[in-house]
Amino acid sequence: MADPWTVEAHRLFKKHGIKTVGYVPDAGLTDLINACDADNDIKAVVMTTEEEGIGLSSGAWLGGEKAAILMQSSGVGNTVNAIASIVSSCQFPLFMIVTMRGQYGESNPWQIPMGQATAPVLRSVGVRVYEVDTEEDAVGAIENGLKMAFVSNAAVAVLIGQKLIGAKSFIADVAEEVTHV
Amino acid sequence: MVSNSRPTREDYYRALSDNLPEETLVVTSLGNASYLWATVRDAPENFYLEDAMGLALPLALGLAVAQPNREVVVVEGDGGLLMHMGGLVTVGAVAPNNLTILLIQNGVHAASGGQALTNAELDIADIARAMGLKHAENITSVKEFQSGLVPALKGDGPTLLALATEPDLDAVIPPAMLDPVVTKRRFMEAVGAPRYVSIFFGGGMLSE
Repeated sequence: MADPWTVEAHRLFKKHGIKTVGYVPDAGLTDLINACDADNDIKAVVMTTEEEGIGLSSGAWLGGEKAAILMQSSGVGNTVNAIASIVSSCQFPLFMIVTMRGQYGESNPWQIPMGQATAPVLRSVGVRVYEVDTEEDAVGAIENGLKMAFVSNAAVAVLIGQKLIGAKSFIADVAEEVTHV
Repeated sequence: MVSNSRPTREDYYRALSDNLPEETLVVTSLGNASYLWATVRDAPENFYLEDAMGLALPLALGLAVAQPNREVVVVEGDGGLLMHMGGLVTVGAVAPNNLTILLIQNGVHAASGGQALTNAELDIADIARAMGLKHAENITSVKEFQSGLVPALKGDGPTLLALATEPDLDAVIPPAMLDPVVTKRRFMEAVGAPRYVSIFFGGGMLSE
């Protein structure tokens, strides 16, 4: 059996020379964040908010290095002006992995609107969006997205769907379990 | 207290230019922070971030991490700092020793007409220290600025110098259009950033 996409993503970061990884944590990103944190060749930076990542990534590229940015879909809403302003104006490469909420089996109603808006919002500011729902597609999109971003100066986001990472259960899936909350 | 006792942005910029080693990388934020610096000292080592208010610090942080052997100076305003205060927390946490933040503290949104900031009286040096910056100082004169700047550029940062500054509400006309792509390319050539070139063989077909 092939390794999970998080293991492959870290491997691909190494293969493509990613030196800085900026992230705002999400449960679906935990294994990838831990792998980057433990890697002495990668500077893993936990950010206070997602738009910092757009600055961080662009600054790294200015200095001759490649960065990747990790966030949950709700954080994409925070990045819009930064992407439009910095990445589009300057034609900076951008590579983001976004773990989805509000999309498939979501049990937190607050997540649904931004989950639905994530892909169209990214596209509206010029980001190429790959939506993936399987391990195989995730790995392929990450590999090809890294190539596109750093060879073609493209802005790329790989959206990891909830069919792959699962829907987080904040409140019970069935009414009887609500008493445990 | 004399109301116009604070130095101007230009006073600080002239002193910065006089004390700045040539190879220093400089990131300036939007408005006169960039227009005036391009007028005082345009150089390939400058990156003018002409929008994305508040994100000069994260950008300079990424640059400082990528270029650990060069000093990076970033000029941000107090309005920009308030907009993304978290960026300073991240600088404090990553703590690159080659990063110096020059914080123009004029108490207003200068580029939009001089409207008062949400809070113009903050002790920014105190805030910066609380956020983990190694050195931070509130500066009220050009002489103090020079005294603070010289050690800051010796790789013992991160340092923040909060510069009490008279607001400059008239836009400075820069010597040339600060084209974002040209600025980026010129900067990357100056730092010797690698280029990634796609090379196609076999009639241009990708092998995979």
